[in-house]
Amino acid sequence: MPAGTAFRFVTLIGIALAITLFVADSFSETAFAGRGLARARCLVLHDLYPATSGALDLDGRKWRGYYDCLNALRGGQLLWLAGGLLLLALVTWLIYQAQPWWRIRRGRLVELRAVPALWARVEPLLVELTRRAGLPAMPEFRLDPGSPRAGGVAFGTHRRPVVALDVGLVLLHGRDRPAFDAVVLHELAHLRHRDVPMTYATIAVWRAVLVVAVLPYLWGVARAVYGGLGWDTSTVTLLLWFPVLLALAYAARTSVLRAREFHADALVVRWTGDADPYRALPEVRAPRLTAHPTRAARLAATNDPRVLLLPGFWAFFLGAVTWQVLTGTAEFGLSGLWVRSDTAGPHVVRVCWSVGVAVLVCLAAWRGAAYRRAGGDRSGVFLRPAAGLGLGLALGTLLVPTVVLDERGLRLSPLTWGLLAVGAAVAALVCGWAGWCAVLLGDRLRGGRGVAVAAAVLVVCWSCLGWLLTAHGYAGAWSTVFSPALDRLDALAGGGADSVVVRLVFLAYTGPGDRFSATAALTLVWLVPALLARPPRAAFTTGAVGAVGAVVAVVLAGLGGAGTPEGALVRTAWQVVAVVAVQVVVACAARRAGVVAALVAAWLTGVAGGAAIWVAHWSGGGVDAVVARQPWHVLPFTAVVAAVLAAALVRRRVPARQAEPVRRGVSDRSVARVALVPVVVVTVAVLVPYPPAPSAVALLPTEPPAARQLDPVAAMRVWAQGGGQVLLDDVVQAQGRAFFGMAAGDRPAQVARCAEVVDRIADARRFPGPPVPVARAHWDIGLDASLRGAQECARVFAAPSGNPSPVTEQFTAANTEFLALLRLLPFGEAAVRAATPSTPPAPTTTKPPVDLATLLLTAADLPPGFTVAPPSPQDELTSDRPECSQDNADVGPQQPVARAEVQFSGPGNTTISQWVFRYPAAADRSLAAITDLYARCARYSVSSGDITLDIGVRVVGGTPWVAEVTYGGPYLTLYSREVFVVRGDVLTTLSFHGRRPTTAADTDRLVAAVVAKSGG
Amino acid sequence: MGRSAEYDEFVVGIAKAVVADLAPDESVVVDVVGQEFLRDPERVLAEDGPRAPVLGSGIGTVVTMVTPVALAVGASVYQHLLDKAGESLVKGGGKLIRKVFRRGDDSDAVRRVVEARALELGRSPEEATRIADAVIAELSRGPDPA
Repeated sequence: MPAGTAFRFVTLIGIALAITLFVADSFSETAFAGRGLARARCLVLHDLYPATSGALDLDGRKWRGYYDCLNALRGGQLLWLAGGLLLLALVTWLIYQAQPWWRIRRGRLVELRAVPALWARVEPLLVELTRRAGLPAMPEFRLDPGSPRAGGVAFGTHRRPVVALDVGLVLLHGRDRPAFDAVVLHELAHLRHRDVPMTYATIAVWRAVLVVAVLPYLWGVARAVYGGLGWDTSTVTLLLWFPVLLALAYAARTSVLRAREFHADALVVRWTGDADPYRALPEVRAPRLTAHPTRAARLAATNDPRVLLLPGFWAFFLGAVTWQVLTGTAEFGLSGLWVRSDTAGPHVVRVCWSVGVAVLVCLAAWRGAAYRRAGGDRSGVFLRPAAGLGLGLALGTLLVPTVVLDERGLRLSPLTWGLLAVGAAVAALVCGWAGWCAVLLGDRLRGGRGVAVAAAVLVVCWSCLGWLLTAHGYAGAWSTVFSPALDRLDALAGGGADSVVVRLVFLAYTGPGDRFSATAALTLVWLVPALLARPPRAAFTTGAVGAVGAVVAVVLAGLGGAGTPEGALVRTAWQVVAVVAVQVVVACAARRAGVVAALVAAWLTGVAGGAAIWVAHWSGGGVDAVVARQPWHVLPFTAVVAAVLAAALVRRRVPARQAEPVRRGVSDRSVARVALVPVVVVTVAVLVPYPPAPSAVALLPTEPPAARQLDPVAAMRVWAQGGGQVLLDDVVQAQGRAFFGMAAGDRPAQVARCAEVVDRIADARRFPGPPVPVARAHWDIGLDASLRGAQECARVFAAPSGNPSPVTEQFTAANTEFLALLRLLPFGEAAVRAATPSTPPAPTTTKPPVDLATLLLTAADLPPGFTVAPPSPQDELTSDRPECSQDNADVGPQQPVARAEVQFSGPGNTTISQWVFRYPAAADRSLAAITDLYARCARYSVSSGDITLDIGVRVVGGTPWVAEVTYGGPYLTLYSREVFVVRGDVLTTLSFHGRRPTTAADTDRLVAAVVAKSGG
Repeated sequence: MGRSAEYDEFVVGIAKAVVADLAPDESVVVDVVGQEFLRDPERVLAEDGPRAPVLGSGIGTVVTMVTPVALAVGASVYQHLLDKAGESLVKGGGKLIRKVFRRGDDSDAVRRVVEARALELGRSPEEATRIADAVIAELSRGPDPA
C-alpha cells in the first residue's frame, strides 16, 4: 500500500474520530445533565465564573470541588464517547459491506462470464493482464452495459475483489489494445496495491461520520436553538467551527482518492513500459475535481514517478491540523476528568501529541530523503512539508474546541498570533532538521540508527513544540503574570536600555520552560547530525575561541553599575546579552565549516559564558541575581538560534577536492565522534547546579494580584446554562399553573398546584443564585414574592372561600422580578420579546359629541396621580342572568341619542369612569329602570372564558343615586361604587373601581364636580 | 424491460442487423446493451454515458458505439409502424410489423425516421444513410427462420 495513501487515510480517520468524539461529548453533557449543561452546572455549584481579565479563580478548594463534580459525570460521558465510536465503527462497517452489493445493483453490472461470446473474446487477455499485475487470482470481472466510456472501476472487499469494465472499454479490446491494457491494468494496480478496501473504507467512514455525527449534531443544535436557548455565542461559534472540521474531513477523503490514482498509474507505467499509457484516451470533459487528479498531474507523475515520494505542503498541513484537532478534542472531552492540573493527564497528553507530531515530522523527513536518494531535485524538498507542518500545527491550535469556545477570546489576541507564528517557525525548523538527519542517515534509515533518530525527533518535538498545545493560554497569563512582572523589571532597571535588556532576558528565561528537558532536546539538535556525519574540527577550534570571547564579554559587561541587588540584575542581563552576541559571531564564523560546526561552537560559547556569569556573581555561597542562578535556562536556546541565523546568512565553504566525502558529511577535516563526549559532559556540568540567590531582588511583584472582576455576561451565561434558566422556568411555569388554576373551581387541585410552586421554589433555593448582584436581587425578591403568593394561595383555597387578591398581587410582583431577571440572561431579551407584543397599543380616546364634551371630567378635576386611560376593551360575557349584565345605556324605555365617556387610571390600579347619555326625553325614566334592575340583580355571575365573576349588588340609594357592586373573581376581588346623576335628558354615571371598597368620602368631590358641570 | 415482448424482439433484432452491417465488433455486446436499453434507454443514450462512479478510473473518454444508435433507431421505427398500422395489427409480433412495412411500401418514410433519429443522436449524414439502408434491408428481409 502506498505510504502517501495510508497517511492520508489515517488523517481522515483522525478527523472522523475527532468529529465523533466531539459530538458524543456534546450529547453526553446535555443527556446526563438532567437540568442544564453538566459542566456549567459544576461551575455554578462551585462558584467558578469567568472574569473580565481572563484570570482564573485561584481558590484551590473550588477547583477540587469542581473536579469532583466532573468526576461524577465520568461514567455517562465515557459511555457516550464509547457508544459514539462504536456506532461510527458499526455504521462504517455496514456501509463498507453494502457498497459492492449496492454498486452492482445500482449500476446493473453484468458478470462478464455471463456474456459467453464476449467472455470468450476477452478472457485470455484478462488472464494475461492479471498475471502481469502479479495478482494471485483473477478478480471477478463485470460489465457496465450502459456506459460507453473507456473506463473501469475496482471495488469489492479484500476477499471478493471486483473489477467493472465499461462496455466502451471492452470494445477497445479490438480497436486499441494498448489503451485497453492500460485501463484494465490501472484497475488491477489498485488491487495490487490493496488500496481498494482502504478506498471504500474512506468513503464508508465519510458517510458514517455524516450519519452518526453530523446529522445528530445539527439536529441537536436546531433543537437547542428553537427550543428556547436561542443563538448564543457558543452555538454560533460551533456552527462556524463544525463546517471547518467537515471541510478538513472532505479534503482528507479527496486526498486519499487522488493519491491512490497516482500510485496506480505509476504501476501501469512500470508494467507497460509506456510513460503515457493513456495517450489514446483524450478526455472529453474535465475529471471531477473531487476524486481524480487532472490529466496533466497524472502525466507529470507517470513521467517522473519519483515525485510520488516528494512530501507536499497540503498533505502535511492537513495532517498537522488534523492531529491538533484530534488531540485537542480528546483533551476537551477528558478535561476535568483526567486531564487536569493535579494529575499526570496533561503530561501524558503532551507526550501523545508529541508522538503524533514526531510521526508527521519523520514521515516528511524519511520521504524527502528517499526522494533525494532516488535522484530527485534537492531544492525545497523539505521546505514544503516543513511549511505545511508548521502552519498546520499553528492554525490547528485555533480549531481546538477549548480555544474555539474560549469566552475570553484569547485566540484573537496579538500575543497568541505572535506565539503561533513562532510555533510555526519552530515546527518548520524541526521538520527541516529531521530531514537533514534523514539525509545523513542515508540507507541506514530502517536500522537501529533510524530508530534512534526517530526517538531524538520525538524528544525535540516534545520539548520544542509541546507548548503549542496551550499557546493561547499564555495570552491569558500576560495580563496577570507577564505584564506586572515586566512593569516591575522596568522599575527595577530604571528605564532606558537597561530596561529593554532586562525585559528581553526575562522573556527569554520564561520561554524554554524546564531547563533539563529543553537542554536535552537542544543537545540532540547538534548531537544527532554530529554523530551521523562526524563533527568538523572547526567546531571545536571556533568553539574554544568563542568560549574565551564569552568570558571576556562577561567580564566587560559586568564592569561598572551599582552594587545593589537591582544593579546585579541589570549586570547579569547585560552579560547574558553579551554572551549571545558572541554566540552569533562564533556561529557565523563556524558556519563556513557546516551547520554542525556552528551549532557546536555556539554551544561551547554558551557553556563558557554561563560558567563565567556564575563566577562573576558568586558571593557568599550563592549568586546575587536571580538570572545568574542558571544562565543555562536560555543560553542553549540562543546557541541554536545563533546557528540557525548563521545558516541563513552565511554560505558554507566546500573545498572542491572533497566534494564527494563532504556530501555525506565526512571530510578529512572531521574529528572522531568521541570528541563530542567532553561537550556533553561540560553541558551536564553547567546544567545541574542551581546556586541559591538569597540576596537577589525578586523578579515578580510581591503584592497580591488585583481582585478578579467578574464578567457579568459570561457569568450569567454560565449560571443560566448550568441550571439557573431551567429552575427559573420551573418556578414560572408552576406559578402560572397555580395562577390560572384559580379560575378552575377545583379547590383541592388548586391547593396542590400552590404546593407545587412551593416545591419548585425550594428546588430553586437549593441552587446558587445568579452571580451578578442585580440579577441575584431579582431572583431573591421574585422567589420571595412567589413563595408568599403560593403560601397564601394554599391557605385561601384550603378554605371554602376567601379573597384571592393577595395571591394575584404576589404572583404579579414575582413575575415582574422574573421578567427583569430574564432580560439579564444572554438570550432573555429575545424570550421577553417573543412573549410580549412588539409595541404597546396606542392609547385612543373617543371623541365625545360637542354638546356632551363639556360634561366630562378632565384630569384637572381628579386627584393627583390620575391620568386619562384608553377605553377598556369589552369582553364577551355570558351570565346566568343576562338581563343583569346588560349595559346601562340599554336599560329602560328609551335609547340614548348621544353618548360620551372618559376613563382615568390612578394609583393602586384604581379606575374612574364616566359615561354621559343624552336621551330623547327625560333621563329620570331611564334611571328608574336602572334602579329597578339593580334592585332585582342583587346576586348573579358572569363568565369570560374560564374566568367566572360572582357579582353582588347593594343599592345605597339617595340623590345622586348610588349602588355598590362587588366582583368576586378567582384571582382577586374588585369593588365598584356607581353614582348616577340626572339632569333633564342627560344621565351621567360615575364608576369608581378598585381593589378596595370606595366610600362616599372618596367620591363626593368628583360627584359635586359632575353635578356642577351638569348645571346642578 | 421494454413495453412488450414484441417491442423488445423488434428493437434488438433491428439493432443486431445494423451493428452486423456497420460495426461487427460490437455484435458481442448488442444483447447485453440491448437489455440495458430496454430497461433504461436514457442511460444508454446519454451523450457522455451515465454518471461516472466516484472511484472509477477517472477516464472520461467516450468510445464511439453504433449499438446505442441502432437500438434507438429500432425503437423509433417500431413507433412509426405502430402509429401507422394501429395497435391491433401488431399483436402478432415482429413478423406482422415487418409485413406492415412490406405491404405498405413504406421505405421512404422509414428512411426518414431512421435518418432523423440517427442525426439527432449525433451521427453524420453518411452514417445515418448507412444505418437507414441496414434497417430497410432488415425490414425487407423475409420472415425470420425462427
